[in-house]
Amino acid sequence: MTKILNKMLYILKNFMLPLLMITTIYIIIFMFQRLDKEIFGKNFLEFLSVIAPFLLLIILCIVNTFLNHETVKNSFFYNFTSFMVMLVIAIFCYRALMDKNMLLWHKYGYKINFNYFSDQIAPMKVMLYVLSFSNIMLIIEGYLKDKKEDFKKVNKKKNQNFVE
Amino acid sequence: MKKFIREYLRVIAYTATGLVFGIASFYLLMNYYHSEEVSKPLYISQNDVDYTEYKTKISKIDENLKRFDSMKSKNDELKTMYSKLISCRTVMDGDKTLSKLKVDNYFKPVDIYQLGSSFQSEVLNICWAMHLSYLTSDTPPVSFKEYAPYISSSVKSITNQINFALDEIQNNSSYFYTTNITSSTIRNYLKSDYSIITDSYNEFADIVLELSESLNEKAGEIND
Repeated sequence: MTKILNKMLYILKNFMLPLLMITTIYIIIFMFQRLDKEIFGKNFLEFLSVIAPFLLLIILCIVNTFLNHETVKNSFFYNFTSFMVMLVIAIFCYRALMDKNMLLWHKYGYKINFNYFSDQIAPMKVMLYVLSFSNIMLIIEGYLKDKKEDFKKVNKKKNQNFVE
Repeated sequence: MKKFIREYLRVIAYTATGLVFGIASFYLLMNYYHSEEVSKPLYISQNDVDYTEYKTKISKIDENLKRFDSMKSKNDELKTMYSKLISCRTVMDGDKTLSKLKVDNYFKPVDIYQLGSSFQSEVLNICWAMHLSYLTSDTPPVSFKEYAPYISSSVKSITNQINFALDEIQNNSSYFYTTNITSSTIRNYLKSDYSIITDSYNEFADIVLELSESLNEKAGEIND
C-alpha cells in the first residue's frame, strides 16, 4: 500500500512541477507588465530568481528518473513532502488567479492578485531550494551505498521469489 | 567511515525535508484559514434603514420629475436639467448599485467592495461626471447658479470618502489573520466602510433630490 502511494506521489509531484512553473511564469509576466519591467532586459535576473528553483528541481527530477536513484524514489517522506509543496504552490497560484474574496484581485484590472502572489514568492523559493538540497543529499547518499549490501538484498529477493 | 557519512547525509536530508514539511503545512493551514475568514459574511443590521432611505429618496425624485413633466415648461435650461436628472435617476436605481443592498443583512467583503466600486463607476463617473458636473463649470446655468458651491463641496467630500473606504477594504487581501484582534479589526473597518459607502449613496441622492425640487420651483416661478 505504502509503495503504491509512494509511486503515486512521485508521479504526481513530477507532473505538477512543470505545470506550476508555467502558471508562475504566467503570473510573473503580467506582474512585470504592470510594473513596466522588461523580462528579457534589465530585470531578467529578477525573473530568473523566481524561476531558478523550479528549474533546479526539474533538473533533479530528470536526474532521478534517468539515473534511477532509488534513495529518492523510495523515500516516502521526501515524496510526500514534495507533493505537499506542490499542493501549497498550486493553492498560491489558484488564490492569486481566482480568489475574488481578496479584494486586491479587483484593483488592477488584470484579474490577478499580484500583492498576494508576491508575498508568497519568498516561501515558495525557500521550500523549493530546500527540497532540491535534500534531493541532492539523498542522491549522494545513494552513491555511497555499499554495493555488497545491494547485492545481498537482490539475492534475498531472488531467493524469496524462487521459494514462492 | 563511509557508513557514518551516509547516515549523516541521510539525517541532513530528512531534517531539511522535515523543515519543508513544516513550512508547507503552515502555509496550507494558513491559506485555508485566511480563505475562510475572507469569505465569511458580516451581519449589518443597519442595511434595512439605509436601503429604505435611499429608495424613498429615489421615489421622491420620481415624483418631482413627473410633476415637472406635467408643467410642460419651455425654458431650455430647465429642460436640459430635466433630461440630465432623468438619466441620472436611471443610473442611481441601476442593478449594479442597488442589487447588493437588496439581498439581505449579510454581506461578504466583496459585496461591500462592489457596492463602493459601482458607486464610483456608475454614480460618480456617469451621473456626476457626464451629466451634472456642468453645474460647477465656469459658466453654470443661471437658474442653478446658487447650488454650484454646495454641490461642488459635497461631491468632493463624497469622492474622498469613497476612495478612503475602498482603499481600506483592500486591507483584507495580503495579510493573514494571524490573531483574533487583527481579524476583528479588519471586520470592524469593513462595517465602518459599509456605512461610509451607503452614506455616500444617500448624500448623492440628497443632491439629486434637491436639484429636482428646485427644478419644480423654478418651473413654477416661470409659469407664474
